[in-house]
Amino acid sequence: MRHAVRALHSCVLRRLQVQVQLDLPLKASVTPVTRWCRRMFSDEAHATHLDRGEVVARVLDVVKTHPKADPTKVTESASFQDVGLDSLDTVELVMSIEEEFAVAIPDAEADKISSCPEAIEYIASHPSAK
Amino acid sequence: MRRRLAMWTASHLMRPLPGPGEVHVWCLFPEDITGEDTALCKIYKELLSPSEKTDIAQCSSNPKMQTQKLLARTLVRTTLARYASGIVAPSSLRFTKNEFGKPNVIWPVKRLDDWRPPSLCFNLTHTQSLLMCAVTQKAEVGIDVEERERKFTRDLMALARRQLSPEEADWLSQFTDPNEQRCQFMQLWTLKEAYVKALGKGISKAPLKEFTFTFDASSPTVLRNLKQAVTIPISLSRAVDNSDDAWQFLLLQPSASHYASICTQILPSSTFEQGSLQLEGWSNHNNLQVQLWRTVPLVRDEELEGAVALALSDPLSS
Repeated sequence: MRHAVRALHSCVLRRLQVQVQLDLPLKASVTPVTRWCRRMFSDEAHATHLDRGEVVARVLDVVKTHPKADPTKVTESASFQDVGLDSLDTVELVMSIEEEFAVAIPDAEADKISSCPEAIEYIASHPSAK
Repeated sequence: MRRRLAMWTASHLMRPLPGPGEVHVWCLFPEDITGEDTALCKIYKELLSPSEKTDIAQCSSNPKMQTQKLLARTLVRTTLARYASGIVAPSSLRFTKNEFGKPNVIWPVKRLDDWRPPSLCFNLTHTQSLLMCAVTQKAEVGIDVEERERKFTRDLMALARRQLSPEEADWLSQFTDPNEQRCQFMQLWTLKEAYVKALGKGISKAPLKEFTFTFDASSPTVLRNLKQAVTIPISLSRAVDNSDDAWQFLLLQPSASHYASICTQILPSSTFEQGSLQLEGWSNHNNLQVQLWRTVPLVRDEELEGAVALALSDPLSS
């Protein structure tokens, strides 16, 4: 039993490091162990959307770090053009946003993202975004 | 400065219109302006509309962006006014955008004796070091310019797989020299952008991956303009706009450090017939007639030296 608990303990720690947002149900004494494991590793446990404030902050951060972006113009409502980026820069930027949030944006959707609000909206409404 | 401007106004605002199959391209190199910075830029600012001035004022934290915007608006206004026989001042033009953001010009004077506003199509493109404005009569036109040495933040082939058609990406992957690969990518990019801009319907109606440009190095042709340049034929696989429109493409280096592409609509000869007048060579023309100028608006124009044509499409095959 102790071995199993230790194994579970290390699982919990690993999950905690990866999923900062995860609110672990620390009721091991009440919930059967097997069901708790399944819940922890199932998608439902961490498919809550990211907090919008965090999405905004992280998107704007990615935009600001683009070498051609003027950081003083990067706001929640700015278009990428406002910030000094052309169409090729925009493509690169969208790829960087995908990387930041570990999502793959389909071409048809990616073509529509040409501003901070559009990027924020896409990420905020996609549960798979991390 | 004043006397120079007056002389310019007299002679340079009487530019003949581009003929059928002709594209006029006005090139502005910001490096040409540095010497006369403040005074000339002040004069340029006076040509702009209130909303254009506001737009520029809002970039006060970014002087480079301010200059870009100022020069872009100056170029397009002074360029179009050239074709108005001295009747229209650059500052009096108004601009609207279609639902996809493609700009259109509204002439302030609809009629003056026998003069009517010309049916001009135009398109603007710019990088930090070069701005270009292409003008045609009646034929839709698109132009895109990029710096050859443009830096990428991401892996080029990843970008290529994303934005080019599968065939183009495969073709690009064959280049082993990264420099060469980057140059070829830039050339393809300008061609694709010029096409989308000419279509004027935005990228969603003409997704970049759905059309392919192919270069055929095995049978170069001689271009009759651009100083007898030898060019490589390019062809476009199936047009994306589902119309019967025909398009012609020219890829060139307007300077040693830039690539540019021009895309223009090929119109049926009936578009230009005025009674029995038909311009010589029109029904037979195979090569796009492109004229390029290097301009410092309101100061001087000269023929653009050193432009090199790289590839031209055969209008019959696209």
